[in-house]
Amino acid sequence: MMWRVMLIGATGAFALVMVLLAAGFLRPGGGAPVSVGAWLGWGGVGFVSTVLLALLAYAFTVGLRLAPTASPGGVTITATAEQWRWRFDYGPLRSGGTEAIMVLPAGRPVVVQVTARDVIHSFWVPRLAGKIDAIPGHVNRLRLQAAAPGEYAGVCAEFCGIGHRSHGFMVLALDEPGWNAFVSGTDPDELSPWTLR
Amino acid sequence: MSAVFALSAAWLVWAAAFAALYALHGLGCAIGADERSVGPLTQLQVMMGVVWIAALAGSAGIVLALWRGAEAAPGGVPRRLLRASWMAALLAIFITGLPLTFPSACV
Amino acid sequence: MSGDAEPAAQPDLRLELARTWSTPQGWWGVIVNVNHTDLGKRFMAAAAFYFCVAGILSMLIRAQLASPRSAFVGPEIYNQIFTMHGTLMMFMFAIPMFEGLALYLLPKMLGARDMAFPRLTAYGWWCYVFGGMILLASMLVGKAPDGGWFMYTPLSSRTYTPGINADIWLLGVTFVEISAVCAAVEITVTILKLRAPGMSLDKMPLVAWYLLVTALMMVFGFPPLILGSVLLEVERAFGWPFFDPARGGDALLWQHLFWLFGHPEVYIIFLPAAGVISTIIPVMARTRIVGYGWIVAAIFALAILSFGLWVHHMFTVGIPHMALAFFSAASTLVAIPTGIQVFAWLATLWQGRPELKLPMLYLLGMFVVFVMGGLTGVMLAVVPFNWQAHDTAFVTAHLHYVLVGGFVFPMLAAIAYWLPHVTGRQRLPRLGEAAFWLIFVGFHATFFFMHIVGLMGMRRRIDTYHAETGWTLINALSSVGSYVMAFGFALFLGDCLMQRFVKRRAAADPWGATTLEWAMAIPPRAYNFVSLPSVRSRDPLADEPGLTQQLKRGEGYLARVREGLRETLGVETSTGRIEQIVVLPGNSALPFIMALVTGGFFLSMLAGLYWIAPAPVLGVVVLACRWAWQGGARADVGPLQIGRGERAPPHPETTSTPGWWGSVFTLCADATFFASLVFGFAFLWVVAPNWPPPACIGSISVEAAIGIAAPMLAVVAVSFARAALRRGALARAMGACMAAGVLVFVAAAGVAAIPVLGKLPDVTAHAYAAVAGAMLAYLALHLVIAFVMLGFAAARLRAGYMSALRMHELAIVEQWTRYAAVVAAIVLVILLLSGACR
Repeated sequence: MMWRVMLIGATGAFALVMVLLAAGFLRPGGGAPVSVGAWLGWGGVGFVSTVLLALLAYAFTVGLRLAPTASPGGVTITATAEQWRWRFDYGPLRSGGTEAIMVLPAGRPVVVQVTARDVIHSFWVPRLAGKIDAIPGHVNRLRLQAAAPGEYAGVCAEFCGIGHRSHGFMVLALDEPGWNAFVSGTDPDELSPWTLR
Repeated sequence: MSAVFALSAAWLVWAAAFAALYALHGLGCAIGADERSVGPLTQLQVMMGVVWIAALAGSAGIVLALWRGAEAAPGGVPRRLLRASWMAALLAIFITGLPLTFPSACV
Repeated sequence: MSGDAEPAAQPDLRLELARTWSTPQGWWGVIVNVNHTDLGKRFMAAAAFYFCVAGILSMLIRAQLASPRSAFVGPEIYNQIFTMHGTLMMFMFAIPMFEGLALYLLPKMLGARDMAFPRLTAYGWWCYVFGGMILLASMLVGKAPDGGWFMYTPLSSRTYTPGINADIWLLGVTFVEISAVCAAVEITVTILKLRAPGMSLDKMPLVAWYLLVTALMMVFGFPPLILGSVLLEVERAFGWPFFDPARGGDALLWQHLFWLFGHPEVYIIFLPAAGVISTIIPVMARTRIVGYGWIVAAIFALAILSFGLWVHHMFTVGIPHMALAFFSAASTLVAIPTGIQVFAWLATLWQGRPELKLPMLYLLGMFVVFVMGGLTGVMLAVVPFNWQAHDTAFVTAHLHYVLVGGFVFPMLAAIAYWLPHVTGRQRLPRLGEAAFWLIFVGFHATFFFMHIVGLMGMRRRIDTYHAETGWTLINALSSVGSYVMAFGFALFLGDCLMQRFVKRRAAADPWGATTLEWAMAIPPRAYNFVSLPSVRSRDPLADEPGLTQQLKRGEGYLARVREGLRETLGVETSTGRIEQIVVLPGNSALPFIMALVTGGFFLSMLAGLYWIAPAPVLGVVVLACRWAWQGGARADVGPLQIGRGERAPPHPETTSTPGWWGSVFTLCADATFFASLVFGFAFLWVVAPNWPPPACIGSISVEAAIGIAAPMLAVVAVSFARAALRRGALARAMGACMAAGVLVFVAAAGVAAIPVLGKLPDVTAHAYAAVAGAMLAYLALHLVIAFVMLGFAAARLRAGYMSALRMHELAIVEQWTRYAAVVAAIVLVILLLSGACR
């Protein structure tokens, strides 16, 4: 949605500049001169700033909606990155953590606490949320929600050395019974038909 | 050099306000000033709000002064340009400070 | 031929000028050359060379990514390739290219005979050459930097990059940055002081405004990166934990320092190119630029706003949303002054009758590419979108659109436009046009689709991908496009080189331009102008037909050679009133030797031979004194005839000399470096994990009292010396300088006592002590500098280089003594206050 709005706006602005440019070359014998104030005041300042401020207001509101505030029924998971593994812990929900696979309940808001043990990595599940960096010494929070059960690929998005390319993980979103089985200790491998590397 | 200063002054005020807001924000979040409330606001909002309004008032004052006064050109810069710079900077300070109205500061 | 008599017309004036400004033939001439035209050409040629090297690296990247699961190179090599591609393009191509253009053009456009500090030009050149050699050598032996061109810690710290790769980047790039800072100071002073008489600031060609602002941005933009590099190298070499979170450091400090430089850097690259555009467009449209004042105001807005954007490179590091929103707002606002410029260019085209000559063709390419890059930039300023697109190929595509559109296309236009000036020859028809279309089409094929593959989730910096991702076709297209573009660049280069063989002379002003660089013989002579112009308008060649011939006939200023000296005129900074005759130094091997010794320091650090490193530092100090000793005068001569019935004193007899201004801007850069260090201290204290530190600084009240009071007394002593000199009391002035030197020495002893007496906690244990140690080291360095300068001043006084008229050297020494005193007060007060660190 947001992307489409920006794409249309950008295409329009680009087209405007190109038309003005082409007209500058193609006018037969030079048209009526437009005054400096009109060009710079209306075009440079007026047009540009109107578009930008509208976009900025829109961005602020969308950004506020995405803030990682805790919400009722939410789950908190800690993700720890290192060269080149991902580890996930579920706090009091489940005694054992998982590696390379992050399990979460579908349809419920999840706050992921992201950190790193060695260098900077970045937690990114493209289909669920934007990215957030995993920085040693810091804990960052990201809110995401899987609408439906399923598997979602996750990757490290910040260059982290030789193994960066394959520094990935899998998000396994389970329905309520599956999630209940998981928190009571069932191995995630048994909860899905897929065998993960 | 006076022309360079005259042309930069408005934006240096913006830069100072910007730096102060960002620094206060970082400091305030670190010491938990967003959790202490002052009336309907938090301490952090009050501190940052004061800086914002002071910067706005200061540059608005200069815009007014430039509107009145003689048509002198400080450092050889036409007054018309200085007025435009200061008004633009005033607007920039306003827009840059708008996030202060966000409901939460430190998440 | 001194003093008063109006010099008789010199029939052999050109011959004598040529002799005065000439450089010896052969290798020795290459080494001692300090002429701005030659060095500017060298910078541009070398930058073109690095563009080719980095371009070949990018073709390797495209070869690797052309097909899925490519085994062309492994990640070890691939990481070096993309790191070096970015590093070379940024530091070895873009900045030196514009420096070269500025060095070549500025004095000619301003109506001067050379830059303000010719030897500094040469020193910068040699630093660039030697630093570049370090980077190139590392590639040849397969030890090139491999941490990405922004070198994030901790990946680049000793633990995770144990090899020499990261040191190469930190030391090699810092070495090259010395040349950038030198150029920044020199460009600033040249524009402010070395203009033609009558050229007040508002009569300068627009490109001079652009370059002035760019140079000022470099003065304030480069020091944070230099500081970051120094701190990271000290951490790697000696274990001071500035960036290690386990010991109170923070990886984010590096990112702040890097992007505090890195974002202004984008505009440092763009603004000179925009200056070129604003120069060429009116000529191509046969009119004058629309909205001169608007553009100047917009440049200043752009420059300062661009310092408030750096965090938009860090939108995903976990900074609270409100802080991100500040930067998001600033990032959006910065597009407005850019928009003003684009509309001013459009308006200029509308006002005139544009002709599609080759430079204009490249500028059309600029319009298309740069506007698209700007629009994707606005998208990236939107935080939620950024969270998705960050670190994907979308960002790679965006930044190439901005940098190629905003820099490479304008530079190609600049080369097409000014090459006849450099060579005095015409190019072959149609080759340049063919090159344009190859580059333009190839560029879009390479990068346009990269937006899409980025939105499909392809990350930056991965060495290969699987076929299932569905990225294969797009990547193959990109790779084909990149090879088409490479052919275009090769053709363009070939077109330029052809001029060596095709000897068709160009007309004196082939484009019908109106700026002063065309008011001379082309190719230009070493002295630029036979006599210097007097400027009454922004377009002197249009408003004063015949100016070129007048100048050639020697009817301008300084149409003579005085005692074999290289001279040009210095003006008052704003009004352009004649103020002084600037006497420039001649050929010198000192810049080469000094750069060689500076290189010795960097090499000893690189090799881990830390015990050798002090020797080259001492060498630099000795050479710097030798450098400063040259020039100056031992007798007062008073105002001299400069032609057209006017007189001006030689610069040593004035106060507002280029040297004084150069010292001011050097101190500005230095102060920014220091401010960044103080910022680092505050940042770590507030944000870094594992604070408070295990041990605080001990009780230092006595040391601090000495360290603060002694430099203040030294400042008083220097003021006294100045007053004495003004009265002509040389002996007293000398005594006061020596007393000030002793006071500074006492202060240095007091400061040194802090670590010596064990009051500084272990600097390798915690970032607190490390930063405190760094501040003390910075302070000690400046006390030493002040000490050396005061001794130097005393020696100059003794040797007769100063008098009641010739005081500017003492004024410079006073500046640095004052600066040392201010730094002492700030550092010691901070340390006193931070004694209660727990």
